[in-house]
Amino acid sequence: MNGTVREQALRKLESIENMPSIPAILEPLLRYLSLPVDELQVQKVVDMISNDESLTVQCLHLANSPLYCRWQAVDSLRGAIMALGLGKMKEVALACSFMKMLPKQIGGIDPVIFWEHSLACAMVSRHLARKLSLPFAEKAYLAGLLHDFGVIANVTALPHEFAAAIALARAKEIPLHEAETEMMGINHAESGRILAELWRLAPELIAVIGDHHSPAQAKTNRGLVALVGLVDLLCRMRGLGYGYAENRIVNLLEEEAYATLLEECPLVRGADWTRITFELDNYMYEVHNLVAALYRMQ
Amino acid sequence: MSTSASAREPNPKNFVPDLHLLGIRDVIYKTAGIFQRDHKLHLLKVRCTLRMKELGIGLLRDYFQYLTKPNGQVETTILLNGILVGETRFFRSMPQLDALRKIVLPKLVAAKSTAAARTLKIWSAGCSTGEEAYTLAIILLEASSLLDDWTGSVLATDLNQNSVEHAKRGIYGESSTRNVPPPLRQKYFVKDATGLSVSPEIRALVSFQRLNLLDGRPLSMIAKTDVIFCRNVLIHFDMASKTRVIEHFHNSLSPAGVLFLGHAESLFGVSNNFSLLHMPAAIAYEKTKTQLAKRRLL
Repeated sequence: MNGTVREQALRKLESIENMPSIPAILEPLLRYLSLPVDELQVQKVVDMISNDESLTVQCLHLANSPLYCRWQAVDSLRGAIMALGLGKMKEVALACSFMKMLPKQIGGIDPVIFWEHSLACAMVSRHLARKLSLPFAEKAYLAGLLHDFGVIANVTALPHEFAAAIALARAKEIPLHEAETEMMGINHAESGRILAELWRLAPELIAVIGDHHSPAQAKTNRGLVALVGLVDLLCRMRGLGYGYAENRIVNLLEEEAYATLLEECPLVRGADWTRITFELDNYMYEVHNLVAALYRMQ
Repeated sequence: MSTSASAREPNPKNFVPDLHLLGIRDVIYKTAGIFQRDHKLHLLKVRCTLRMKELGIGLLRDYFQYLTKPNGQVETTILLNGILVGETRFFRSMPQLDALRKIVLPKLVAAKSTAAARTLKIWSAGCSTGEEAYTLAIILLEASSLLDDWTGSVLATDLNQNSVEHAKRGIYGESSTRNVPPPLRQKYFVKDATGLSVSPEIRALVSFQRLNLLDGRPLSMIAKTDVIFCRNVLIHFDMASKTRVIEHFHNSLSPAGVLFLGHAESLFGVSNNFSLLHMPAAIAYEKTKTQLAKRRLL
């Protein structure tokens, strides 16, 4: 590895003026929504989201999508909370908040495709955590949504290097984090950890963001980190990646993420990964259409 | 990344799956190994309604119970026959064919590079009227740069003698050849008064046989197969027969051999002797347990 390239990248990432700042409206909202659902007050959630008109519109659109609510149309935030429940409404608000954080340009990645990947990882992580009765199911959605947080750091602090890494990943059909390491000496997991610590995100989010490509190295929240790492890989192999196919064979059961998940959560043994793969495909059409529609509303 | 067209096929708006319909999906998966993705559930419901009329059953709940009775397997097969597309055509399921071309063939060539005989053998098990077998032969011929000094062959078998005779004739209409890319159509087909005739070059690679997959003796003669395609055939067998067929497949595969099933089919609960492999937008089963945590084939 080229130490100089890595050191230069780290210097840029560690300089606060190079890094994106958290949008003012989102900071209190994200902090409040990180509380357990039973500590949240409906009116306070409604008030906080209502402060931002576009966020309100996006939340309602998402709340009405088949991914969240198939049974009844909702036309107000309070109605959405009543129909979906506070837990799902929290997910909707988090997803829309995350979309507002994303830059308009993400190097060579279409922002719509990047958001599709993030939302798919969020939904599949939660689905899988519940299906496998994992103890961190409630944290899985946000962890999946934010796992590629480092891409935002790279786009902002290292735009040219990151664009070159994406081009390399696409040309060689290799995973993005490997191309980043090759081009910049650092990948989005490392840069994500720097930004996540700067923004003082919750410890489990910092762990997922920083270790989802090397879950065996995670010092805390290893099960959650491994779950999101595995879901990330599965999504990339099923057409919900960064807009290109990684030309390789993956045996999930031989992945570091699977071994780590199995250590932390023995219930995972015996899971039907073929069916889980088919269930992931269920999200593809809905996520694709929903994100395209939401993105147009920005 | 290429995405199967069916995965993006829209749901009819406002289709809400009934809990019993989801239960029927589970019954089908458990007994036939076929998973109906969400976007196909409305078709499953239509087919259930038709069967319910024929059987004089009024409620989906009662039909669900009918399927779960001891003899429900017979009804499940009848139901599935109405759902699965019986039509065979050239270049069906492109993600699987891309995976074969870009990943599996290079992997096999690498694995067999030290073998005395440079041969690659593909088996189209349940070949129907031959479209899949000829497609596989075209893929072998088109991979000439990879398979320069290799000898490829395709064994194609089906229980139905009429289908085998049709396949041997090798003459097809516009409908079954509509997916053939124009340059390949020009290269490997000859148009005559009766339709498109497969070229002698392709025919030379394929041998057709009538074969019952439950007939152990002839099956034991099929050995050292590198790739098996057996799409939507296993649904016609009960669990015991299916297990036997899969065991025969396992025996007939070469050490690094790969089995492709239908795009919604699973081996879960049938055999533990295969490893599930993920490739871009396609899955397959490998005979041997893989050695490395991750393998890249570039």
